Amino acid sequence: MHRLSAADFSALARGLGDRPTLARLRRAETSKNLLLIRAVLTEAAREYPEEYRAAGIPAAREMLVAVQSQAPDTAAEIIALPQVGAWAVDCLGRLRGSGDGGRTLAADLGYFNSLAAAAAIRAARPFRLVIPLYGGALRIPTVGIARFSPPPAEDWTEVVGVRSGAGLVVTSDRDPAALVIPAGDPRGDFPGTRPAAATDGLWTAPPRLRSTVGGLTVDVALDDGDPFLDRYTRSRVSELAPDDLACFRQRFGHAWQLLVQHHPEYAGPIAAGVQTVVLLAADASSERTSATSTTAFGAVALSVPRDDLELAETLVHEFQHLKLCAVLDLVPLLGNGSDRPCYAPWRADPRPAGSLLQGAYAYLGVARFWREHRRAARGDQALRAHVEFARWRSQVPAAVDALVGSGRLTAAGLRFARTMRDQLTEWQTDPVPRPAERLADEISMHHRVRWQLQHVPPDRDMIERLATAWAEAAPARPPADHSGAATAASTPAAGAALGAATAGAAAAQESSPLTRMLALRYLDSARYRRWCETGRLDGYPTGGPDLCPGDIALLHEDAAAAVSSYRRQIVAGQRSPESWVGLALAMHRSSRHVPAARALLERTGVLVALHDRLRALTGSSVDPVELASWLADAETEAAETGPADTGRWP
Amino acid sequence: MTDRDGDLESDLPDLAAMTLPQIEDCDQSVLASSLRRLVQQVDDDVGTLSSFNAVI
Repeated sequence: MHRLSAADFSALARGLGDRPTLARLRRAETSKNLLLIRAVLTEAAREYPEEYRAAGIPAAREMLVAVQSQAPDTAAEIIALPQVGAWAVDCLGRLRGSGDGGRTLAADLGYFNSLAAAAAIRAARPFRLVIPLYGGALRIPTVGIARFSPPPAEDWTEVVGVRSGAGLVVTSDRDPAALVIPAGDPRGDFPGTRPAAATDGLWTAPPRLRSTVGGLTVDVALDDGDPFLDRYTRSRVSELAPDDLACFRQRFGHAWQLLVQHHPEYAGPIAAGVQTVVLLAADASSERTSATSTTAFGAVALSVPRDDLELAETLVHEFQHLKLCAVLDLVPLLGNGSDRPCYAPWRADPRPAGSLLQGAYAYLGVARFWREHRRAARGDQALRAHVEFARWRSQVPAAVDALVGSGRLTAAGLRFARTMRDQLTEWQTDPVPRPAERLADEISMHHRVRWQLQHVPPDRDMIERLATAWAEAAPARPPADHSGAATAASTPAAGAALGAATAGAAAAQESSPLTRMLALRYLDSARYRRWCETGRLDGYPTGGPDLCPGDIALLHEDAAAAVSSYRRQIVAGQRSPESWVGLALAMHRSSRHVPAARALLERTGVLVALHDRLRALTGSSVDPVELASWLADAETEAAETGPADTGRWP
Repeated sequence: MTDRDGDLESDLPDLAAMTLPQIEDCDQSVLASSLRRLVQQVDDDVGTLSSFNAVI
């Protein structure tokens, strides 16, 4: 059985894990892939014997076993590829009745043959296998692609590898032009592109991203359209134009330099654990997308980042997910049971416990990344590093605490989460410049207030009683706490305040003009300063984001003007509930009306609903600050006099 | 399972150095149990983990 030593477990829970630890995780993932392969082959042979034979699986199995016996390290390299786990999980799903991905079962099963061919080629063993074509192309993982034009009607080709003086000569019955594999090149700098002599097929080697800094080399594949690595819920970029590929390689090299020079605790393990980068199309709403799949250990997916630093951070972020996925494959950290989705400070949508754990672990790594980067960064980059560190060290602990209190963690899960928490606690006393701390606080508050408005609806009966009390000029009774636990309502109505709550939630959160500008202050300070000076932001056809006067005043550090503007907007019924979010931030910054400011931050949903209800009852609009003060007074009174009279205010 | 030193033993058998026929000779109930947990984990992730961190 695989084991996870106490030292490895503790290091991983602190967000770390060195190269030997990663080597052990990778060995475990190889076991997992073998277990899955064996399950696919066994179930396919038993349940679909015709397809199993028609797909030529017996010959491919025989070939893989031969390579396992004679060149075990070579076989293990192929078996450990991220697409192997993905393929096996997809096939098991098909064999057990789930969707077909648009291919025949035989075509899905036949991918195994291409893996066997890859193992044979790398071990320089002669072979003869039938391999399915995907999108009209012959793909042999790690070896290359032959694209046929026009794509052939048939879905399969026979591929033959024979020994020659030069090594192994591989041909397809669709492409007599040989791909000559030099002898003694097991790792493979296979020939890049060989023009076909007799047909119009071309062999193209898969692109790789390689960089060496300070003697430490990273060497990963850039996905070139593998049919089983298209699993990240975003469009994939499976082929880059030569110039774009050169640019991305350069950026990857620079990111690697940053990691080696300033983050050696991540660089070595990343070199040992990441095998493939899958490029995703950028998301129009967030500009930045990255993902990891539990079924494809070793692959990270990301859109082309804006700069080298963002790429380095993203690699760390996704690497955290990879490590946690591997730990979960070894030891269950989450038990059975249901949970109510919770607030996650990095997401617009409520997250169940499993996702909350993944996110918290990723941002533990991100916090460490920025903590270390503060030592290297200067000027605007130093501000960015301080803000990012301050934000995540303050936000992740609450997520971990929610997990610990969720009842979903196993004993090992509790041990893991408490170690994460200990690491975060150690960082709380690190000094951070006050301006950076304030930017971090504001963007965190803004995120949380918007999330609560979208996902935590106030109790309707309570709003009715508060409205009646206001109308009677009676002191309010404080509402039940709808913010502290920050668990989301399960009803669709929860999303009414800010639009769709599920599919479009992330986009809605990211698309707020104020959100973007608050982030721009530290993500691109120079660009932000240009906006402050000129009122224009490059990249926008209209000259800038659609900010209201309150937003503009807030961003220009004029809190009093921002409060006045947002109040007017709310009274006029404009831009609600975004005006309330801005008002909460502006009030917090103004340092006046402190109790009202607190009520606006913590009870925004109650205040918006109450305000709307009073308008509906009276036909006129109440001043929002007056309403917040009234609610805050009631809370203060309740705190001084003890528990509320629950008989009156449920 | 945690031992006295705090090490954790997985239910995942170490198959990394085995050939496919050698795996067939392993205790099938152990393989089945480990496979069941791994597949269940994937099923639990559908709709949540598959899209985690898709937008950060």
